[in-house]
Amino acid sequence: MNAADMRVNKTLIRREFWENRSLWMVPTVVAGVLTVLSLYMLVAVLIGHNQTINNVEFSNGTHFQLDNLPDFRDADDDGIRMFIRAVTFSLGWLFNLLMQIVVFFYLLDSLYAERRDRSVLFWRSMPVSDARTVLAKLGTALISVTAVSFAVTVAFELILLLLLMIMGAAVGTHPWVLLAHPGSFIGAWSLLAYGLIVQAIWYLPFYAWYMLASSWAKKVPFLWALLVPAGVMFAELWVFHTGSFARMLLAYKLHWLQLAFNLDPIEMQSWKHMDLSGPVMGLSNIGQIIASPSLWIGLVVATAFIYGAIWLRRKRTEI
Amino acid sequence: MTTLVKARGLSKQYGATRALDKVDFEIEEGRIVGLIGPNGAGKTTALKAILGLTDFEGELDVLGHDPRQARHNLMRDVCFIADVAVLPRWLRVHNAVEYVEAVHPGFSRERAMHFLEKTKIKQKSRVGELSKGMVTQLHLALIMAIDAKLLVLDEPTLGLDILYRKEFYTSLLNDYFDAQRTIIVTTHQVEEIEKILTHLMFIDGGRVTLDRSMDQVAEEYTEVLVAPDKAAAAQGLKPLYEREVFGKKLYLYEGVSRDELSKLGEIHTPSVADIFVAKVKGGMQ
Repeated sequence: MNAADMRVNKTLIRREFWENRSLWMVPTVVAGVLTVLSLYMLVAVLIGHNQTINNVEFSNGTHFQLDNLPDFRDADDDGIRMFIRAVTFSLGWLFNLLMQIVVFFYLLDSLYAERRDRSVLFWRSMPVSDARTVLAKLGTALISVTAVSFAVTVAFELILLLLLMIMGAAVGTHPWVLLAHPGSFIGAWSLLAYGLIVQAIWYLPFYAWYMLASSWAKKVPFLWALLVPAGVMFAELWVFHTGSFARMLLAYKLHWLQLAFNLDPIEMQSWKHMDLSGPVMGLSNIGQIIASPSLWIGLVVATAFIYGAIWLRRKRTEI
Repeated sequence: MTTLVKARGLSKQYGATRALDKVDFEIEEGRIVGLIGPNGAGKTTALKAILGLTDFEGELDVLGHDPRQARHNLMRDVCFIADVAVLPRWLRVHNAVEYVEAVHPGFSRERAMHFLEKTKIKQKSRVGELSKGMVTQLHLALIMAIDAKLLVLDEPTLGLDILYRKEFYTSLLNDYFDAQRTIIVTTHQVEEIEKILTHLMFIDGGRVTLDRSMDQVAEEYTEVLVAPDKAAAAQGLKPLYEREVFGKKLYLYEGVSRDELSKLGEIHTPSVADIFVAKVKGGMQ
């Protein structure tokens, strides 16, 4: 790909972020609100510490007492690695879930809004092929669920770390010991990036399906995207009294966790025993992902949907 | 002369209606062609076919491309403005310029800025904040900054007030048009473009009913104001159309020599609108 092509692709993706500000504004605003809440808690805890009302009881009966916070000086390497991974994974899960929802609505609108406001006549008057436009929109979705999720997670984690430092300074739990283990951060972030990328590739058929619905619908692509699979499920239930399509979708949606992280998402026990201190993945995981027929079936389905979306963009200039 | 557009047996069917019925035409470089026709006559279908926005039957060659195949390659040399207000409301002016600059190899930022500086459009504004006239000015600034061979305008001034409409065509003619460029324009306001056209094409009922240069039109079509006593003689020459003005009859002839007609009364060249009405209504009589 030459420089001019790269520039076109970059601009097509930037165009998507100009139009769909929610792609970066929603995670930024949520991270901002969480920062304010954390600050509020920090202040409350610091004041509470002086008045010793810092005993918070969780629903599962465990007590959170500031004075009982782990003194990180006592923690060994494994403990610190586990702590950093747990924080990274829970934040990553939260922001990724948020981006999945934002991207769902983004994709449903991606090939529909331009037909509704007729701006498609302007975009198609430019020397950009329909295939390239559709792929740029899909690329924008992939960037959002991976890079944006990752960036917001890491940024917010660093904010939390800063707040923890301040709190640590006040109550003497020495969280700066964490900084002496930069490798644990790098490790946790690489795992996060790996998980986000595997998940994004795994979910391609879903993203492609939303785009197909968006290019097809004359109105409310949301309904097309949901009612068609729902219709298949009900038809199956009615005719065969089985629910294998629904089960298959759910199994597919969770299968990547098992392949990438050796987690059995259905068997909740495996989560409890999830060992965050040791390696959560190895090279064998990449091998078993590539060897998985589900991956390739998913990619074939995604390609078919994307092909359909490109074809429809060429055919359906008007609503 | 280079032929830019060549259509042979161009047809398009929408359900039971034939929007275009085996149409042949050619458009050569350096022309400004007015494509005129009643609603639903097939003008927009013909334009869409040229722009690769619709499927069709028959042959159509636009700058050596089949528009069905490689629209994006075609769009390097062809620009179009389809109606007004197709620029999306969320787009900022400076982003629009940035976008076209990146995707269009023939775009000149300086030219676009030059056109935009003459307007009141602010770089930071969103299209949704601009008036209708300003949106058209922006669209036109973007398009005129592109070095294209063929410009297609479909009702470009629809919904604009008369000042903007005048300005639109003036700047099109003064700042854009030259011998290497070709423009195809459709509009219902025929009188506005009459003076800038070099060629005229009528489409009616899916067929091309007239395809002439403006000079040929002036030669072929004559209007005569005839006193009542010569009405019978005038009828004898088979006028295309007749109407009454101030108690006198006004006859419109096609292909009758001016010398002959001048014996009947005062002759002049009819307006495009009059010829259009005569062709459409005359065809029905």
